[in-house]
Amino acid sequence: MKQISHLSLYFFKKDKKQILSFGIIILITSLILNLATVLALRIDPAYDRQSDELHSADIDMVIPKMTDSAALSAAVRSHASVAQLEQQRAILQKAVMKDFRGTDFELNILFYNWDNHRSIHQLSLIERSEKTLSGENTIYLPLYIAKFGEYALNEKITFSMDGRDFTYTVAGVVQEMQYGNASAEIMGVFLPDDPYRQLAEEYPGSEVVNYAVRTVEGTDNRTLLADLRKTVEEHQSPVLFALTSEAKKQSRMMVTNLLTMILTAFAVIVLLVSIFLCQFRIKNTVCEEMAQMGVLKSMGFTSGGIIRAIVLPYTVAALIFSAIGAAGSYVLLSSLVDVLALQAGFRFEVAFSAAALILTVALLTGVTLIFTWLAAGKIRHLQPIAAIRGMAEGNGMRKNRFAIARTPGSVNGVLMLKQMAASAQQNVLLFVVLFVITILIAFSGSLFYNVVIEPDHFMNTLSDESPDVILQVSSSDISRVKRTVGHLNGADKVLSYSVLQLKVEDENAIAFVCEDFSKAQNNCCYEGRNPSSDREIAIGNALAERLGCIIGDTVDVTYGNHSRSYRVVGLVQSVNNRGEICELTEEGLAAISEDPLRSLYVYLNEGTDAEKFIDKAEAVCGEDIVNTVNAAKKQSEAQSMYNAIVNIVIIAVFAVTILIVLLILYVIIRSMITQRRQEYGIFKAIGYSGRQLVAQTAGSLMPVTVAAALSSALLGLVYLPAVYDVIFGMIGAMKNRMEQPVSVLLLLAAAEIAVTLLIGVCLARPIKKIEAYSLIKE
Amino acid sequence: MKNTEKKNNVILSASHLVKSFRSGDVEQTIINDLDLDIFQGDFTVIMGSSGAGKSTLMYSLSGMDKPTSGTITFCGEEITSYNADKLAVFRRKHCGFVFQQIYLLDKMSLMDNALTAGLLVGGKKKEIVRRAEALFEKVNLPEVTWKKLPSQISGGEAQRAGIVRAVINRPEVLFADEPTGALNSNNSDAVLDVFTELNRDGQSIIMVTHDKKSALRGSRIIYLRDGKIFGECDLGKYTSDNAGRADKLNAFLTEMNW
Repeated sequence: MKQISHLSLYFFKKDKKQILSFGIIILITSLILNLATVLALRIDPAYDRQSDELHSADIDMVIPKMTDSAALSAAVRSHASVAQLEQQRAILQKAVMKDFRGTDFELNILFYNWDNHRSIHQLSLIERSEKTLSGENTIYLPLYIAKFGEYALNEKITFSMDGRDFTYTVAGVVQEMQYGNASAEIMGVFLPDDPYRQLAEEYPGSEVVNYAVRTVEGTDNRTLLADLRKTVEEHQSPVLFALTSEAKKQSRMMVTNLLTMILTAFAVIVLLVSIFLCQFRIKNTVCEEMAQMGVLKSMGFTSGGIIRAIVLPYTVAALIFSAIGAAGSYVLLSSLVDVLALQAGFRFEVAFSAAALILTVALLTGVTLIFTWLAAGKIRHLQPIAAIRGMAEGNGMRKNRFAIARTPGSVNGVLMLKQMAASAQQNVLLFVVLFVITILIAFSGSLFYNVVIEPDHFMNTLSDESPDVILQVSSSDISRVKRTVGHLNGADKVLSYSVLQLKVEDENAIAFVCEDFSKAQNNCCYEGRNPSSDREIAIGNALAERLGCIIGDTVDVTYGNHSRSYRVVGLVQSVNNRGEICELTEEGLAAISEDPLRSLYVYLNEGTDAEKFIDKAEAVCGEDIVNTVNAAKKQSEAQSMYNAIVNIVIIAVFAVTILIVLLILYVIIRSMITQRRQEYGIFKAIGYSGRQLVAQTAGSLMPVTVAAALSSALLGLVYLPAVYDVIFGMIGAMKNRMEQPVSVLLLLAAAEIAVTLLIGVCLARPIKKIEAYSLIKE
Repeated sequence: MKNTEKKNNVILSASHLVKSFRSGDVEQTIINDLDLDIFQGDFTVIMGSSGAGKSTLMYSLSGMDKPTSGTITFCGEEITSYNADKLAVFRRKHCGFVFQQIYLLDKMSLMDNALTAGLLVGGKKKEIVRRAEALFEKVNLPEVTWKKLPSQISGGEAQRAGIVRAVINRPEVLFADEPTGALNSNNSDAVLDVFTELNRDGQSIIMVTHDKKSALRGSRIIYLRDGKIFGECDLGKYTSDNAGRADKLNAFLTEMNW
């Protein structure tokens, strides 16, 4: 063992710089892998634990207080799968939160009484004002509204409801697990007793009861919710909103899950790179040290002993650097979690995960051990004397490739090709590394293009119809308002478009009703077509699946007391509503509703300021407009969150990419210089300048670099849509709008080639220092 | 040739040449204030005992190594001030090298080894290929060997290919460092014959050797000791009168205590 450790130390000293560069790649891999592992292992249980601690409900149903009854609660409570029921009174209002992250944000808000006791959906007060706020109307906000809406303690928050403003001072921020995030369309806030009573007096008809239900273990919440809906309706009560814990979790954890997936893929790619790198290095060491191997064998060292001595420094490096990387990931994790908390409305306390650390370190060390061992296996076949004479099989070339006399081009160009042809292993390493790196670059570049440069592609995939301005109109003569607004300067088009809740068969669904879907901007239909007549309907993917219905079937739609049959002509998606939606034409809805549509979607010409346009619209139709929403601003604010996450991903990918290319090229060029030192000396003696040799060396990497970068980037046209299909499919977007412009992919590939060349030239500069005279000295 | 005529034919000149190496605190002077003129068309042989500075002198003269002090001029132009790239250009245009260890590029055929040097200076590829072919024939390497890799031929063949590579650019000076040191007797003779023939055609040659048989091919013998020229002997152009030349050389070397 002592002999082996001495030998190991020799190999370590000889290759220390290259072992260090390998260690840095392992460190990066470990950092990313541990991030992904901690997120995967910790955040989901942390979410569940938080839900348990706050005793969250599995199902929530909001029903009007006036239709609530003791008999109804008894019926719900008596259901075999219901373990616990708590009825929580609240005031339900469609409210516009003013200055929500700098814009107006409309949401269904449940105002709860802060002073009421809760055994289900308990609240954890995570921030509380130190000030005495006596005499002020105070409010306690959930984390999501406080953080994403940017309302600090002691600041004011104004809710605009039916044209009236209600302003409260933020007295505290609570962690709740009752609702999803903004995409779930409904959230709760908490008023102390006095302001709650005042609001209740203002809106007596808006009082509702939230049926918070905890179910017995093993219950299928979705099925139970359908049963409970029936029970409620049998008691002559509508269900205004209903949510299962799974739906809440999905909307809160969407970005986290996406990020975990991306990080895992990223880690796997970097791991592949490190595997190739350590194999390359070991094989090179065997070649470079061939004579020494022969001497060692002739001295009596066994093949196994030499292999262990070679493998040990790499394995120890993997162990140390993976542990450092895993530990370092916690520094990044805390800032990452802050960004994720914005979307999740849930504060994940970063805690050390021994399981993640062990998994990461064991995986990386194990993989290194296995692959270095395999690469060093060649030593077993070395005959001592053949190794000493440098005559071992496979050592050296057998063919003169790219004969200068026959190959067109300058001698320097041909020598580049010769150098490339002489380095098969290096070419394979470089090709594989650059190919997988380009996958990362292409994905990040494409993400950047679709999220930041052309944000509509991403936002239209995730969101529903997105106008610039939404006008809620009180007048029954909506067409007059539409005409007037349509003639205003800056208006591109105006559509009657409303969102309401109705029933398809027995299932609740959000209905998008439009006068003409062909004029809408975001076509959510992924199969078939949008409805175009009063007898047609398009339904959401989740709804279609639940109803077992396909295009051509007929479904009954109920709105209020009216029902009618519609033919399904298409399938539509909605990430926000988890596919529980449908589309009807204005005429189609009119057949079951006497109420005309009361909302207008306004699309503005490019460069038109939405806020100023709203002012203009209010100036000309002020009396008819009940409420306005600057949807462009709302969308841009929502987008800013995605931009922040994408920017983090992109910066990380580009930084890691450059670092990996640098390290790989360092290892390759260093190996080249070591192996070809004598050759460079001969070239210099003949009269080649250092500059020519540097260019020749860096240039010899170019054919492989260009082939890998271009082929991988162009293959992006094939694999990127598939990757997006998988990613968005997981969150219910059956059709995504992400595009992969060839020009962007080629530009990225060109940038990668240029960076590789630049790094190659810089790293090959030590060749200049090799003296022709060193041939003689050596 | 008369002395004045010779002076006009100086191709390479060293003046107050010093070359020393430092290893830790110890400085060792290999060439010590040496003056030397090399003449056009001469076959100059540098001899001396081990460590006398033969190779160091030769590589300093050829721009392969930089002297510590002193000047070297080539055709009247000082080359000691050249930077590495300029020295490379100087070597490719004016020098050819033949090494004891041959140092052919092992991943290239013999022809490619020659062309790697030949095409570096420029010119039409076809012409340079033809020149290489002619040289290969001149050194008695048949066409079948041109496409072979260095590992597939004998040492003598490799050294002759090395000579082709060295002279393909028609250098003013051909430097040879123990060119027969790694060869057997037959191969040595074949290589020396090539040198003799090249010299007869006007090629200036500077050869380092400690082999008397090789030195006999030279026209001027310079003997180094402790980094200085200790003695010099003019053998005249090589003739078949080996006995007379050998006696003269033996006498000179005896005088030098060799």
